[in-house]
Amino acid sequence: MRKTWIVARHEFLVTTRRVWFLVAAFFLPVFFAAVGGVMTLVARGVEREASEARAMDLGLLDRWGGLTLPPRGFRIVRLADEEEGRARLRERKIGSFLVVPPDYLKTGSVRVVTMRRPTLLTAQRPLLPASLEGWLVENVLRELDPDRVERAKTPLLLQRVYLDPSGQVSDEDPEAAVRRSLTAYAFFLLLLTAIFTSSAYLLQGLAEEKEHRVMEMVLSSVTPEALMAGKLLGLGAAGLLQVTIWAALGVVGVLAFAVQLALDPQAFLLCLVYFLLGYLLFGSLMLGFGALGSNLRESQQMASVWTFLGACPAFILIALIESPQGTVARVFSFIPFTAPTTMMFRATVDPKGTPALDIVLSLLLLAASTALALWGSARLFRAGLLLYGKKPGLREIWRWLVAAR
Amino acid sequence: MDPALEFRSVTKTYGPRIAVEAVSFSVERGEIFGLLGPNGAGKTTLLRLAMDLLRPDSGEILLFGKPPRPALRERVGYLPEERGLYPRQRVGEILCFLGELKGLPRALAARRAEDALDRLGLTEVLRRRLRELSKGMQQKVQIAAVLLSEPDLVLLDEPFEGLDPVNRLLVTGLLKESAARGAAVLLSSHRMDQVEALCRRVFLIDRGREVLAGEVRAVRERFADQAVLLEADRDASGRPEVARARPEGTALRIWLREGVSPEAFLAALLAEGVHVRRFERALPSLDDIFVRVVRS
Repeated sequence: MRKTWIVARHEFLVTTRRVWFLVAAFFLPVFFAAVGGVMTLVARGVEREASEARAMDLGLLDRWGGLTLPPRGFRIVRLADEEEGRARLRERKIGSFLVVPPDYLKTGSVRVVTMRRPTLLTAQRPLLPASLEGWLVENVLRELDPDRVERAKTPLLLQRVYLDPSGQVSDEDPEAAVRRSLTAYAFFLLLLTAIFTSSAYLLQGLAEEKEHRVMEMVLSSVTPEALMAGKLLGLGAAGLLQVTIWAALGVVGVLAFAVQLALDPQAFLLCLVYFLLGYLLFGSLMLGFGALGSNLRESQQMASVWTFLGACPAFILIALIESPQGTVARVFSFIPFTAPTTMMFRATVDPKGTPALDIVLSLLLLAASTALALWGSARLFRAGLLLYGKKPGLREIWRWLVAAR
Repeated sequence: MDPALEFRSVTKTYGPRIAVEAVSFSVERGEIFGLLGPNGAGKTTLLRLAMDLLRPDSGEILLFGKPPRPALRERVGYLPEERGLYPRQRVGEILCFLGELKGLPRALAARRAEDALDRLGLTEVLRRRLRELSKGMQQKVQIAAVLLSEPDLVLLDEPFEGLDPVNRLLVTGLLKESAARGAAVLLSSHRMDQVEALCRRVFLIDRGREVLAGEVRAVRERFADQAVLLEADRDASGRPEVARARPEGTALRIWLREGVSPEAFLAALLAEGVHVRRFERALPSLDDIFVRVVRS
């Protein structure tokens, strides 16, 4: 155990002192924040321009003749013909003009003439003042009771009432489910990022040691099992530190996250267990199979299948969000490679609805698989460490798994 | 006292290939022992077996009289054939880490690292990164890493590979010191000339099997033929006592005809007034012996 700790400390310190670790931990979030800041500034500029355009007078060519009420919240300039509208547009006296045809009541069709082209950022923005639509409704229904006109303008103000299984009005916050989904999604991303970040460090460190022939020197003092355990601990901690730094740099996200976690400490605890088991499962497999390569490229090839399996739940994310207790979610909960992320999702999104049997069974299967992966990977790790320049075949890998040294 | 390392009829195979077959030898404390043989003879396999990195198919290996348990590794210094250290790390950090793995407290490991580097003439590299050093310097750092913990058994696979004569001498001195303090030192090499002068006993191996073993002097005596080394003021190669001769450095190696003793040959030379500057029995080198035994 002492040597495992020495290896873990060494791996952690060596990794976290590397320039690329610091760059990835601190510079990347700052870089992305800077990119985000620039994008926000650009978007604000575009928005300002768009609202300026909306604030300009609106030309109106009313060939229907029914738009006579005074507008509220915007100004209109009545036009004699389209030519006048075009001239005013060219002179920038109006932002755009509407051509309302004589058969407007039948068709509802209105032409907007503008010199402004849509861009990626402005395509979804309204071209016309927000109150224009209400003004049109008022004009169409002017003979009716003002209340009816108002209702026609906003016909649906929904108030949701949720009942619990007994039929009573539930006191739950309906939006909490949405927030829980977001929390689950954050957990999901955190686990995947931590696993893949740590795995990348594991593979990189291992491949470097093999390339530089360090292994046999180290193995003269420590057993392969202790070496593997030390690497898993040290590099796992380095990966977690990196993810934590990223999370800490997004302070708002962390606060929101903490509030959510405070909502259900049991779910948080369960997530932590799945997180640890998941990391041990994937980390040990990465090390075991990564040790069979002679360099980083080969190690990555040997370990890539586990990366793919780990990321599989991402393909069924929608199914998980929409139906956390559905068949797909349940099946994925019992497959060890997909269980950590899937169960973290289910436990967070629907903590009360996830059956205890599912949790126990999934945990048992995952724990057994993790133990098996640690045992098998230790054997492959041991065999692979002294293997140079030769990629083993499946038969050879099987022989190492079942045979002694 | 139990030998530091003992192989008892050890056999190891890799699939259908026999790497080592029924090998037995022991390395005593305080001696420098030579494990010699050509490339691919099975030397590295034997060292990996000794370090418990491989397990034998049959036979027994004992470290200090006990089966090789992980705890016993702390008493063994091992320089493997496939060796290297962390190129991006500082020399001092690497040595501390390896010293700690050998059971030294961190502060002691740091002190020993400085001492070891000092003795190998590398004091100034303590804070430098390994990749900044020459290949020879890196090899000396590896040797420092092996000797740092003052191990009771030192296993070195081709330790002089890549070292110049001055550094070879420096390392030789350190190995002799280790033996003098009671450590058992096993040198594995295919360069028999480099280690035969250093070892008290040798074990020669070829294709996984023992070729011969014993004290260096006795082995060479056993294979000694009727040859002498002669340095004289005139050429003696054409004399009737001489079966054949070949120059060897500044001397002439002479194989005498059967029935001619070295004493009688020297007496004849002196009787004829030949001025003899050097005359000695020429024992065969381990290289020569090895070739003879393998060919026969």
